[in-house]
Amino acid sequence: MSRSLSFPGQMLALVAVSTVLLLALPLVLEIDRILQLTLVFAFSILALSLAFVWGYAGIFSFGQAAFFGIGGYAYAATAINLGDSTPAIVAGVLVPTLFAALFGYFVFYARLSKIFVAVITLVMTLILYKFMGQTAKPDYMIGNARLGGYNGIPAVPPINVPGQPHLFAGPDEMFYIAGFSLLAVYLLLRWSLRTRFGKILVGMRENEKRMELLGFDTRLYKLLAFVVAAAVAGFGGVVFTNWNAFIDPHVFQLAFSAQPIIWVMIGGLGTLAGPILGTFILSTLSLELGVQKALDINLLLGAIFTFFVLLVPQGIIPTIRNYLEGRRTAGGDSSEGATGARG
Amino acid sequence: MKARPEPVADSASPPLLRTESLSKHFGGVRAVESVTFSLGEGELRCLIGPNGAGKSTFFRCLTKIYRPNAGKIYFRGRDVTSIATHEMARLGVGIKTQVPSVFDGLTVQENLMLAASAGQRGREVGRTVEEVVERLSLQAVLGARLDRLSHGQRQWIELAIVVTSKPSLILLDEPTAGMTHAEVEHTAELIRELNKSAALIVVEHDMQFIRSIATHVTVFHEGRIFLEESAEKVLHDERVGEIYLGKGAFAK
Amino acid sequence: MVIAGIQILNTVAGLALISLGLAIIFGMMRVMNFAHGELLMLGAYSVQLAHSNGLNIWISMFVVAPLFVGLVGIVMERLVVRHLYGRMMDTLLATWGISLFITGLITMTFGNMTRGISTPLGSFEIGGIRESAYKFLIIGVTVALFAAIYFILRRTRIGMIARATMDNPSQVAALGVNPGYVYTATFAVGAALSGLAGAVLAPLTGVLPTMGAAYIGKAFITVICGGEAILAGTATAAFLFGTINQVTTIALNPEFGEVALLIGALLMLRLLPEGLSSLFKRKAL
Repeated sequence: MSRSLSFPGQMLALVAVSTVLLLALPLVLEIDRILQLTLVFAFSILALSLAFVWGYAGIFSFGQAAFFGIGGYAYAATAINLGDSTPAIVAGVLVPTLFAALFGYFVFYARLSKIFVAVITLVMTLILYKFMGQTAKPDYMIGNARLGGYNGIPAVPPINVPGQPHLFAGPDEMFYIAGFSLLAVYLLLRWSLRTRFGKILVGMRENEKRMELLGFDTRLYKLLAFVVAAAVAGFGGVVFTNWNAFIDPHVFQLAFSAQPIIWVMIGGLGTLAGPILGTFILSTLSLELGVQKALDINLLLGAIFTFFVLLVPQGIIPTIRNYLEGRRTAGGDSSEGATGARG
Repeated sequence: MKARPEPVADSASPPLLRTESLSKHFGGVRAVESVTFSLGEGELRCLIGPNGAGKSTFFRCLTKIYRPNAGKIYFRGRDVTSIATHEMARLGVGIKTQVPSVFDGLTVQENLMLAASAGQRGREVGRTVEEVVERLSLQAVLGARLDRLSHGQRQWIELAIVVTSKPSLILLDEPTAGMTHAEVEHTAELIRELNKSAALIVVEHDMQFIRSIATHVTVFHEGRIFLEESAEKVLHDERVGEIYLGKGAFAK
Repeated sequence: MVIAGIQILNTVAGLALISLGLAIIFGMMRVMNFAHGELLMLGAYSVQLAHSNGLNIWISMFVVAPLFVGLVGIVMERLVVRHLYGRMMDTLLATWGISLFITGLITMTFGNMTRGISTPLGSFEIGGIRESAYKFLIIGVTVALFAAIYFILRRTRIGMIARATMDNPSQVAALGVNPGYVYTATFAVGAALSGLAGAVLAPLTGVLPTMGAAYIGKAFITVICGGEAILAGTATAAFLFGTINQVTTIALNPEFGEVALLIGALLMLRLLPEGLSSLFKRKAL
């Protein structure tokens, strides 16, 4: 159905449908559902950052939750110090971006293998968790903001109208902000994947050596992809910190950094819609299970994840898509690739 | 075609490619040993030698996949011994590897677009791809994903990728392996045509094929250059037959 | 000075101990076992449960823990890892799913709380300061394990077969040995060593379902910076990072100990992407 629409047409349709939905939902849903959805939107931005760097650039990064957390902390510290959210949002994106650039330089210019990149990003996350947890002493201050160790930073000022700190977002406004942020990030990533840069990332995922033999500096492009993904994750962290006016080191915890990986893997690698779907299904499941406690959430997620790696490694969306395409086109080639490359 | 003029050695300008005592060792194995090799602008050279003679290793040194243990590589007079793979490619060295190295999950068109966008920008990218599609008659497979093509077709697409990136030196490692007879003839034709705008080094085993494309042949044996002569002389040299296929099996 | 030396030696030994099982599984089989931390944790639970049910502490530690965790290793290899050989990234992901699963299972069974084991052996005086004798046991156990693995890999028929299988499975199959068994056994040995390490360290750390996370960062850094040579690489990396960690902890403060570890690892990998093993000759162990 959507195949007949051009790319801008598809995106316009998506924007129209999402806008109507986002505006209508607070009218029909209870406030706790709205809050829950806001959280899921923030998580979806995190999932998109991993979907981009892993699914398209082929870099398995364990560190997306860490950049998400750094973004949250940077937002919190800046907002507390300046009292206005606008520079805080910028800081929430910029600080993880710079951190990723520095960290990524060492990792990618050393040409570490995929496995080692996975390991070292995991280690980075673990060490951040431990370090942030140990900042309870009052000498760990950023300006007026106390890092607070495992207790985190409470009472973070919410997003406000630029320059007017007294006009700040309530739950409904925050829902809109989170929803439209997710939409914007999705559109931005979709667009970037159609540019030369996006094509190069996919080429690198498919065959890194060939890209080098063609003259592409793969170290640089990997670093760029990593940095872009960190910026997106950091932005997700800004939205997340706003959700509860709070950030603490649990975002660096193993159990938390695990989640985006599961969402992306199960939704489908190499797509952007799949990871969002995965986030909606699984984070809702986690939130519901978290309440009733009969079944441990790690046990369930671990089992589901291992099952997918062994038996459905492509994830939900690509599996469905392949099934549909297999039925539709028995002989001819799919039109997907050819149209995708032309635009 | 046989009356191709010999490449003129111009003492004023440096050769396109030159290696000096190039060596690559793996532990105790001397895969490439002290190879001094020279290729002029616009030249077409065939590289032959039995399996394990060091031809592919030599190619990997030239594309900087391997770092040589000793020796120097010069490209247009510039010392390129210690630059990276992508920098070598940007200088204009393209390679078709022995096992097709292509973008398996992408379509033929996407493969070519990527290759073109390596060194070209804007409109030029699309134009180059169209040219190559026309030249290599790829219209029918344009939308097909590479992992759904036959081995011979993949070889052919890899050639197309190399052509699309417009190199000035093309290295071909066994371009006809796994191709049908018709495809081999097609490849020979293409190589002759490519040679109008680029220099080539072709590793091959098919003597018929070598005879149809090259005037000069370099013979590798145990990592060293064994012989460098005109194609006719090399193909009738008894010693080459001995090292290559065992006694008597060669000269036919 | 003596005390600082002992502390450094102790950190180095602990690092080498928690990394050994991981290094064997990665070095021999090219499997990055993300459930490594949970194998250590299961070792700790084994000794705690066996001992609190009346079994002798040393038997619990040196027999029950490695046997049980070795068995877990066999199950893991047979059920999951086996199907993914050659696909390094998928193995990493699958073992990581297992890691979550085991953490969840233990949390559900035993609750999310710390259990303790009293430290055996007591303490003695050295240079006027009391030191726990148990710390010396850890150093001793680590040295003994490294020596034993070296001996087995270099000098015994089983070790030869194991190394040959990793090089060329079909050749070993031609000799009448089933490579599948060798893989299972190697994985089991790696797991058993991890279980033993977790058990030996349990009296110092306490026992908790999520304790694996505290170990794996250090263990992974040690193994990837160690590189190709399983024993020499791991030992050198443990020595380097143990020293960095301990010196930073003493000189600055404990919060920066592990941060220094990460920075050290990044700098080292930038200079030696193949790890410390590239300083040794090829085929070293």
